Amino acid sequence: MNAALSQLRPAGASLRALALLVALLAVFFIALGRFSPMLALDNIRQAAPLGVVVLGQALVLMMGRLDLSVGATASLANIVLASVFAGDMANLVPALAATFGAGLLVGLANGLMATKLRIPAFLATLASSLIIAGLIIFFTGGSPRGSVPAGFRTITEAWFLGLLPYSALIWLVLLLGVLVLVHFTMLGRKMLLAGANPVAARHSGIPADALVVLSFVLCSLLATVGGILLSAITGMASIGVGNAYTLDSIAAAVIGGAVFAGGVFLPLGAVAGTLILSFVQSLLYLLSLPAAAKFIVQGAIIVLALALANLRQEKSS
Amino acid sequence: MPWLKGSIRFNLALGLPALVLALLVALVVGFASEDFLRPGNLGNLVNRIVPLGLVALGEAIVLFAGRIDLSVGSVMSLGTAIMATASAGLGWLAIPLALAAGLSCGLATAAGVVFLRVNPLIMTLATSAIVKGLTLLLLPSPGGEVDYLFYEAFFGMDEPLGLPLYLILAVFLLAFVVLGWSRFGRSLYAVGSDERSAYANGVPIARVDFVVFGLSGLLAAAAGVIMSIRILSGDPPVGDPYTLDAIAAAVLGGVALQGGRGNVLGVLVAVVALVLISNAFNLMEINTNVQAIAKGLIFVLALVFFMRGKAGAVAP
Amino acid sequence: MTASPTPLLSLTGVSKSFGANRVLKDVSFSVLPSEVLCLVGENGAGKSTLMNILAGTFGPDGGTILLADAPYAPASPKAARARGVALALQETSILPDLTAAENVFFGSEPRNRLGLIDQARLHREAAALFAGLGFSLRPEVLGGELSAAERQMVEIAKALRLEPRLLILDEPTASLSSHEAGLVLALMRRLTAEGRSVIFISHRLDEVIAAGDRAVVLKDGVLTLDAPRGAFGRDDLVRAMVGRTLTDVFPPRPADLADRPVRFVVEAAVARGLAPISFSVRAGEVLGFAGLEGQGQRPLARALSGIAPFKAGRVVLEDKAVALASPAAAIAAGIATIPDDRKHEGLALDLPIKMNMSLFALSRQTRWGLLPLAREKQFAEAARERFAIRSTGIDQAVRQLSGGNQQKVVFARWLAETPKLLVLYEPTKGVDVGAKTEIYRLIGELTEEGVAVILISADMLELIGLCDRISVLYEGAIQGTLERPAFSEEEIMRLAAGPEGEGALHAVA
Repeated sequence: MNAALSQLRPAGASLRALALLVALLAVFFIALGRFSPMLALDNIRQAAPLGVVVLGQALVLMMGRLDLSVGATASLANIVLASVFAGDMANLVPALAATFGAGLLVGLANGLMATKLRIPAFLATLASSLIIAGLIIFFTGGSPRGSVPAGFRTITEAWFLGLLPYSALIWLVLLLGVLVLVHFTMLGRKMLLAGANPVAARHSGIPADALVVLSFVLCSLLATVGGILLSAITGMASIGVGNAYTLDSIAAAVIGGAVFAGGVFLPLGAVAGTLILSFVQSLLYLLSLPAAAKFIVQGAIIVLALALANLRQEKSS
Repeated sequence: MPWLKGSIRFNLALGLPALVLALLVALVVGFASEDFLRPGNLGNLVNRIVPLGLVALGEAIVLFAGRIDLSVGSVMSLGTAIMATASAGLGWLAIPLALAAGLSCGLATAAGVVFLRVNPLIMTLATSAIVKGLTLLLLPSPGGEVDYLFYEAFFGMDEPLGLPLYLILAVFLLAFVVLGWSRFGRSLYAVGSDERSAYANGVPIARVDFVVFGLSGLLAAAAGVIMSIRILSGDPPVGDPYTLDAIAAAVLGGVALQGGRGNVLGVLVAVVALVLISNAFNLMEINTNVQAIAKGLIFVLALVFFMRGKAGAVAP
Repeated sequence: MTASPTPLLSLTGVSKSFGANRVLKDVSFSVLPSEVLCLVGENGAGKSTLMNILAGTFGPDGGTILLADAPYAPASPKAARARGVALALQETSILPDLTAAENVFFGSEPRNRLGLIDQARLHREAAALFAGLGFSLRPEVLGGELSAAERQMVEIAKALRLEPRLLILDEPTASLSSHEAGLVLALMRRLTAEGRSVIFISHRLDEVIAAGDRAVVLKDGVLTLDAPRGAFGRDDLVRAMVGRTLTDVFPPRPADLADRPVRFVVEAAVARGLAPISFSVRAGEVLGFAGLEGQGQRPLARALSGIAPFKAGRVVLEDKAVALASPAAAIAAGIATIPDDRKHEGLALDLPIKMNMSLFALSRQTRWGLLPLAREKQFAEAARERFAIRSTGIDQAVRQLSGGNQQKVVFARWLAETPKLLVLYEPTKGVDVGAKTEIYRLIGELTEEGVAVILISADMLELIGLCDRISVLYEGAIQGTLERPAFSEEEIMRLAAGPEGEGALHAVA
């Protein structure tokens, strides 16, 4: 039991991100003028779609890669879900099957490009995001049809026992899922080793390439879940609704302490990063800053977070 | 040719596939469509080669040094925005202003890479977000105005053999000579070839970073200026596709993504090839969305063809 | 006795530490003008650090250095070169995408009237330089395509072009044939005749004895010998390097190996870089592979580990044919291969010790795919004790351990289960003497348990001390195999130089 618990001890970077989150919450409530846990939870409810996407990005980062197609994948999920649902709850199963099927294909394509075809992952996923965007416009002709039925929208509108939004619960379950995978299973351990040093892993008989493909598949599936949650919130199909998630997921991961070298998995940092981004956005809205400020703040946050992490690393070595 | 000895010859050879491709497409399209050789169409082609060419040149310079710049599209958009908002008040002074802004963006990126030790891939992603925000603040939606006088001065009557063509040829030729035959140009390639060895050989790595990112910002802004003159306005999203296009042109032109290899003439030829392909699609009246998909696929193919045998994780 | 001339270079009390690791401790010696000083020492003794200080890569923490009686503290390699000190490192700084000629002239390329680099003149002058040195190098070959030997020659040419007062050669002959090595030795004599001095670092004791006007030995950062020509012999050098005679460091070898069953056979196996090769190893036997650098050692190790499999031929383990088609297949067959580059091929440096060790220990013990974490902790603690790994605990990141302890972590992983065949590729590279002795003892214990061992190493003392038989590789084929009674460095070097007739020409004295 002892050994199991020690696995769960959060890394220093995650703790710093959590501390930053707490500080930010304080600022948020001050700007708001009142202390409202309900409002904070509502923020979490709306941040859940991105949060799930960031978990996927964290998995890919653990393997030392980057997935720039998560936003397009979430947008794709939105289009497919809404059009197969066509507003009718009876289409639940085919809608979900089609949506996850599409996400699976994207993940496989990304993974194979990054391994078998030896294309640098960031370029491969950049290209696939372009292809997905083109496909979306091509098949919808620019005006997407379909909608998400009210019955399904409860997963992001309703609250469990009035205390916790369902979407946050889904986020929590997925968080636990990836935690168990990486810290408690042999498969996850092999992925971690392959991400930390793919050459050493291969020498030890670990199929590093196959595990990289797996990480991309999981990432795309999680991005799909994010897109599904987002669709439940908006209720309809819109072109490119999830595109912002790409940059957001990188920002969130970086704030949470992610490194690009591989071999590090920080799911708690990913959660903290997502929430920080979400509260920053709310803060900008509260302060009536223009939408453009969001981009500037995001970029600045990425630079600051990385600079701090690098400078800390230099001091210690 | 004695001056082409050594690595310069190897680097030039890397551009041959692009040359072959460009000639092939030109031949096919030339035969398939009689509109192709009309001066109006050719002039239009040149006008499209110029902005992409400038951005691709900047990107290639960054790639030679083993870095990457994902912010070129955003800087280009910023260039259009500055021209659109400032040219009414400042006249042609808006041009150096836009160029200075692009240069500053590049230098800021370099500062992040050098002093804060941020990985160039992420740094330029961040820069591109910041610049995008600044562009939107300046010009929240496409608009502004660029006086027609600029258009007349630069593009004239849209003939193929006009100022734009001379400009792009001159810039590329200058880059070619400086990169291939100057000590600094060679040190730039050295950093991309093997940074540790370059450092051991006394190359000032930080200086190289500032130069390559500064140039890429400057050239992207120049492309934006020219684009804004062409569309007579500013357009925040206009630069977005140019980032990937520039990288595609570089890869197609034989520039190695890990650095140290390639030459700018190959990039120019690749730009011509890409513009020709796009032109061919237009002449064949293919849906622009299909074009976008096709572009993505071509990009993947180019990467596979050129990167055979080279491992690829996250770049720089 | 004439008055001693002013030294060209003199070091007094030079010290250097990296973090808690004290690499150089109070080193003092001098180099006279027109002198060849041989610097000898094991891997990790501090030679590279000392050379890097002299070459201007970084400075010492303490002590003074004088060059021709003036203080010498260059701020960069460029500054060092300006003072007339040139260094040709074993780890060359060759730029792979520039030609050999461009590498030699890098940073000071000849220019024409327009201020542009004159490529033609550059290549012409490089060709002349190579010819003058007797190197058969083609100036237009790209750096990335040069062989290890050719890279050394370019590095030396680069250093010599600057006409230095003091030339430092770091293991220049390591990858050269005996003919090329002879050229380098002749070159050094020519340089000293011109009034320059050379610091010559080499592992080859016979070269040291032949070429050195003086020899200086470093052991664990301390100077243990400083003697002029004639006052030192091979045993003095070995004792100064290792601290004890050979019999103390290496475990004794049994005499009855011929009775043991044959464990592992390779017949006519082919791989890239390996001519058809055949050999066999008995249970409990240590078969060594020696040779100059790049003669097939790496392809052999990689083929045995399964990561770059044999393309043809037969491999038999315990009388059963096996196909080493992948690392997983080799591991499943019971072959453990410890790679030579632990940082790149062996360890995940930023992960804790226990995670680096436990892979094989745990893979058969999972239930429903879950990791038995308690057992991992047990295993790691036990391994830490068994291998005497010095660390703050099993959760410490491997990066923070010394080279020797890192190597022990690699051993712990691979020896979680006793293998049938253990392949060791440079097992003590960058490992301090203390850890080395422990590793040798471990190998001895393993052979007592019946493990067959293949040892691929460039360290001749190690090979001679540990092996029962040594096969010498040359251009991917076994040139000859020596039995223990016939072991000697000269014999190994003779075989390593290739078939008779090749390399027989030595440079003129």
